[in-house]
Amino acid sequence: MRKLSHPDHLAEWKALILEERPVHAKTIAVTAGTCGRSAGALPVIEALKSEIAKQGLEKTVGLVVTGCHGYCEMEPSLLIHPKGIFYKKLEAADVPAIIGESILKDKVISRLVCHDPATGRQAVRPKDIPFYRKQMRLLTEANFHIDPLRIEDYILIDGYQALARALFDMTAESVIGEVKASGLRGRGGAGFPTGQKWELCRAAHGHPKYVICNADEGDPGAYMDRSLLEGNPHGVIEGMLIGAYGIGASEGYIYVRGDNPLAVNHIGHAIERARKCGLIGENILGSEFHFELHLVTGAGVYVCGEETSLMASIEGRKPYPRQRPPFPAQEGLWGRPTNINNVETWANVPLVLRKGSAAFAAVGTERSKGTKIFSLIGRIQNTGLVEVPMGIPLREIIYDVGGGVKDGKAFKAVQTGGPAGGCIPASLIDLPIDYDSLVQAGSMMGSGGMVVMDETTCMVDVARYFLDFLQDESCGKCAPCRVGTRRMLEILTRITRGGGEPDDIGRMEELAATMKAASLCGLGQGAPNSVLSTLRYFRHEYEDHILRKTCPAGVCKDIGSADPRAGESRR
Amino acid sequence: MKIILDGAAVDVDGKATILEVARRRGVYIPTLCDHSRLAPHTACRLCIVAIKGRRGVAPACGTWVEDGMEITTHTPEIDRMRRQILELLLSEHPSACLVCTEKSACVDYKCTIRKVGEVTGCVLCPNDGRCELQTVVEKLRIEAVHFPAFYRNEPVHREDPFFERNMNLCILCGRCVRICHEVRGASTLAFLNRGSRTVVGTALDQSLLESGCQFCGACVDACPTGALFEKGVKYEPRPDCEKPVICGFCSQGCALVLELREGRIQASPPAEDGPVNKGQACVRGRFLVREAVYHPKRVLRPLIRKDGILAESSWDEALALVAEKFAAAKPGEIAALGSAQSSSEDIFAFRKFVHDGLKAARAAGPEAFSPQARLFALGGDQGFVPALNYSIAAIGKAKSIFAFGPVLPMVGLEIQDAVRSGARLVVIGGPETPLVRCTRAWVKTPPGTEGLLLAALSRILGDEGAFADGPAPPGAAEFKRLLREVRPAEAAHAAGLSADKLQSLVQLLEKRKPAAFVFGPAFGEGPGGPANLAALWNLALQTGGLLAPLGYESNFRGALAIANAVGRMSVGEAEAIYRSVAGGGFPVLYLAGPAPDFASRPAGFVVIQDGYLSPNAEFADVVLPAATFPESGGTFVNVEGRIQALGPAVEPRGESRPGWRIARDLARAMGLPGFEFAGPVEVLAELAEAVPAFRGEDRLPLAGGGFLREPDATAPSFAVRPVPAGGPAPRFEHNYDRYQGLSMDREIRSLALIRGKK
Repeated sequence: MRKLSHPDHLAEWKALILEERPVHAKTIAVTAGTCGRSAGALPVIEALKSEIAKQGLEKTVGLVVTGCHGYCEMEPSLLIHPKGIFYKKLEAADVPAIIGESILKDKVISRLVCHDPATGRQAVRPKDIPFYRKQMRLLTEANFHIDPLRIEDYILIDGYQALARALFDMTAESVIGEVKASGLRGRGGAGFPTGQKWELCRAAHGHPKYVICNADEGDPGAYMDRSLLEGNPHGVIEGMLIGAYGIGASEGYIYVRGDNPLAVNHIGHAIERARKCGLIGENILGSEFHFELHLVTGAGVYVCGEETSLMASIEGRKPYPRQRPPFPAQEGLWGRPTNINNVETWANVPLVLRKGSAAFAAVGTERSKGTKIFSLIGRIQNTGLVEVPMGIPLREIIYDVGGGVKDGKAFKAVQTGGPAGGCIPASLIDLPIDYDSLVQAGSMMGSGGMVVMDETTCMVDVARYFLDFLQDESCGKCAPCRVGTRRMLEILTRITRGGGEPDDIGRMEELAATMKAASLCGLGQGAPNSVLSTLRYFRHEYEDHILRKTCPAGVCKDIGSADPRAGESRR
Repeated sequence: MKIILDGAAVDVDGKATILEVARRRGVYIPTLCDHSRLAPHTACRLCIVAIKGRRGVAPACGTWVEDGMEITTHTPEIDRMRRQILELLLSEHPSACLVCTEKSACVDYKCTIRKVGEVTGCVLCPNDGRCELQTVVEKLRIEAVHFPAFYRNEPVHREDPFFERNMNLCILCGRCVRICHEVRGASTLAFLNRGSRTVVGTALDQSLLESGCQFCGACVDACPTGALFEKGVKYEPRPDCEKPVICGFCSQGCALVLELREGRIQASPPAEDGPVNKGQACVRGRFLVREAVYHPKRVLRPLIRKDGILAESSWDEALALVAEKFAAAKPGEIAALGSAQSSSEDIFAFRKFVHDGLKAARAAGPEAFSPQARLFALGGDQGFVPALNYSIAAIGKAKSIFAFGPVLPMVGLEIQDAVRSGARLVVIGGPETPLVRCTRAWVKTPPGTEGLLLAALSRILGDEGAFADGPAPPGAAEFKRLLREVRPAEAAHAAGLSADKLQSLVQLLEKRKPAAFVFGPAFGEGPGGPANLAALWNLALQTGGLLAPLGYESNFRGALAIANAVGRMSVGEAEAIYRSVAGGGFPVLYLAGPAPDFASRPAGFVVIQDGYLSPNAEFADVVLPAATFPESGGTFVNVEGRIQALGPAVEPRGESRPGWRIARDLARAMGLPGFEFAGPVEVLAELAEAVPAFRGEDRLPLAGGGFLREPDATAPSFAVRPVPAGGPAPRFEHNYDRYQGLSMDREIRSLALIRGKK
């Protein structure tokens, strides 16, 4: 490792790494994100290490411990480069066979590879596997290859070259212009055009300016950001450096949940490495650009994902959101102009500069550009993180990538956008997935959670679940959210227990309108969405609960219970 | 800028929120979390308005108007939402009475009150009738709550003095939390928990006493509901009358509002428009006025010692006895000690009586030991007259502040505000006070070494050529010569700080101008006191800083002005009289103010004029009951020199009389001419004759009163005195909690608890 003080040093370093690094005929990349580890990746890695040593293959076989490969259903899994053999659901006991057969004899072990359910044939490489076939892994491709703890791996895939280009070939304005031209929109939920946001912050008066990476991913079942931080932390750092240069910021913060220890560890490690290499600090790559980056771990409070709460938390105050305007671009962290973007947005930035805005904008729809990572979970065959081009029809995500609903059940709905998002019914299966059509359908992109539901799911219960989550995570500052979520939950609980009253639907709609309009921040404003969207598409289920006291999905077991009000006024 | 508010074009000057503009125009927008002293919180969401071109609604309290903005304050949908939000709040606030069918009859007959331990509705709430929530409910015409009621069932905190906390009534507007943090800098109250479990409480749910609360009562006054409520007036009928008074407990001159019911004081919240306190108070003004006026130790009738026992008597008898004794005394046999806690009228009448009636006797008062008097004495020695007036607000404008020991509460708030806007505070010596929390450096100098430290600072600054801009004041050359004797390293060592620390203080004085030097009465006392004071005076002069001396007694500045006009006494002379009194050196003692505790029974005849039975009353032959400040009113001069006058708010208790009247009645009993005052107005007229400072037209103009015109100050010059020697200095006890003969920190249990004396 060396201190980089000239843009050419990146290329020189890359050449040096290639020169020094042993040339492996084959490299085994084992998925070991949080998901892989909980599925048992670590014993597999240990077994691989000892088997490689036992066979004396250190010189010819490389082993890379990577971040998540996305196919959670099949973990622990690994890839054997350069052929790209994908092995699934591994155990330590499988390792001698993998080394003996696939490494030494170039044979594919058929019991460990995936099969295409349509043809029944073996699907050995990711591009043959249905789960990967329709994906466009622009951001997550690196997760197949690099060890997140080695900055050298990132340099080898031309990491920080986009930064060098920005610093030496572009003005700050042209960086912003490039991002604007790419059509990149915020991946955190609201989809605000990123370049425009940067421009506002650049134009704001005040010094110093800050950039923040919002890694407080808290939607139930959503792990896009965690996976990026775990698998390719330098991609996020490079994005922030480019953004800071464009905006004129000299300091940055990454606010990450403390309950994602692996992500905290990897990003913290990456910051230290980047600093040692001179990629963070003064005169980066020998330019006039200075940038300091700090890591702040949050305590796992959902509202900290709201930008003003997040900044309050960094400042050491209770994370209460505050009224906007002033927007963070005008008065943000410590009252200074601040630009805050989500992890995935930052990770997209090097991509824009590396490939050019035109190439970036070639992917996606007219108003939603690039790819989006979704966390596909629930009653779906292929649980996992999927990266697809914007505008892909929902059907392709559910049936092609996701492999359809589990256990042959009928697809009923998919919940997108997290607790504040909404449910999209099966009737909209051909909906193109982009920012605007999701909003039109009564949901939102959110950070990218997709919870698939089948016929055994009760939509009233789903709404109740999300309301319960939100009333628990409400910060308690403003009245409509603090008390509104509470009262709404009580009504829903009462309905699921058989105590629904004919007026309840109207009552909820009226309360929802108040909460949506009058709440202080996005948490309260979005809180009634799950109720509103289920009411929009599944009103009959509410009516069944309220008028006929039945739960068509058979989920609400208490619906005939003697004490329908039991859930009220209880904390 | 021009905006359109509800269809009408409005011109707005400067920065203003929509709410402020609407209020100026008389447009009602309901609010609960808004408070005039606090930054917008935008939490209750009742003040939502529609702005053309913006999505949704915006809170009027937290949205600043912009040119061309079109605002609609009332639409059917906004009104519906406001009502629903209020209903949501009411669903968690005991509001049974709001929707009760017997509501109208209950107001008169309380027909539905049952025996319940909890507040379930307005009729049972101590805040009934002054509750802001009630007002908003009426304005929005809420007649039913369409949500099931939810009772938090939080235990009521009754363990602390003065007020209790009932979080079942709280609507979480956060005004208490914010005022505790933003205005008082105490941050004792905080939001605990999250979401619907949020309550207002203290760290680790301790009692307020344990969590360092100063009991200023700001939270109680900020609370719109009955959640924080003063225990003393709980369930008392509402006041029928409010009267403004100037607090007589200390020299700041805070304006209080006395809430009266049938002539009896119920509570004393601070006045919103008080020029010094701006709606704030400290524990004494906020909670102790009533305690002090109705204290069991009050003397309510004249007492005469008969057969060794103090027995109640009549004024006539007491006055005759005292007059006889005074008349019989030979010149020089009477010592008279005055008070600096009574009105200027009282002090003047007392002085006049002592001067005219007791012939050669001279009156000494505690004002002689105030830091102002000591500064005056320093000027007298050195041939200059210092200017004593300053404004507390000017302390807040300093960039660096040096505080020597404890400061007065409102001065403390001013300093905190200054620190919040970037000033640096250094506390030198003294006990740990709340102020220490916001200081960068607390220099714990051994007592008596302050002067040494200050001289060292002067020396280093002088060596670096740092003197205030403009021509050097007189004495500069000699002062510089004297400074050469100072050894900064040795001085720093003696004062207990490192050379680096000393250098950082120098930097502060050089870089952060202007500086303010705030010091209390203890600073200039003891053998080394004058030298300390001289060193401070010189440093202030050298750096162009503000010197802010703090005396404690409520009217010491008035007493000082009177003393200056009718015969000033040097500190040394006053000390001699007090010493001699303590030693029983006079055949007749007339103690109208604080006197030293007698070690043994004084030989002479002792007359005590006090509102309370003080420990010295044990030795009294006659006790004349004096009125307290709410009973006597009058003209007070605060520490800044601000003259504030207010009439009495309540009748004197029992047979107690204001000081001016006692002086008049004594003079009459002695047959002295010239005491034909019918009331305090005549006393003031004569006072203004004798002391021009009190003439109305002579006062310096100031909103809501005036500033005392002092004897013309001369151009300041350096005080050339030997460099302070350092070493421990004996100090007098200045008990800031003493009012007349009542040591409130001992005699009032709640205050004793707060001061850690019980």
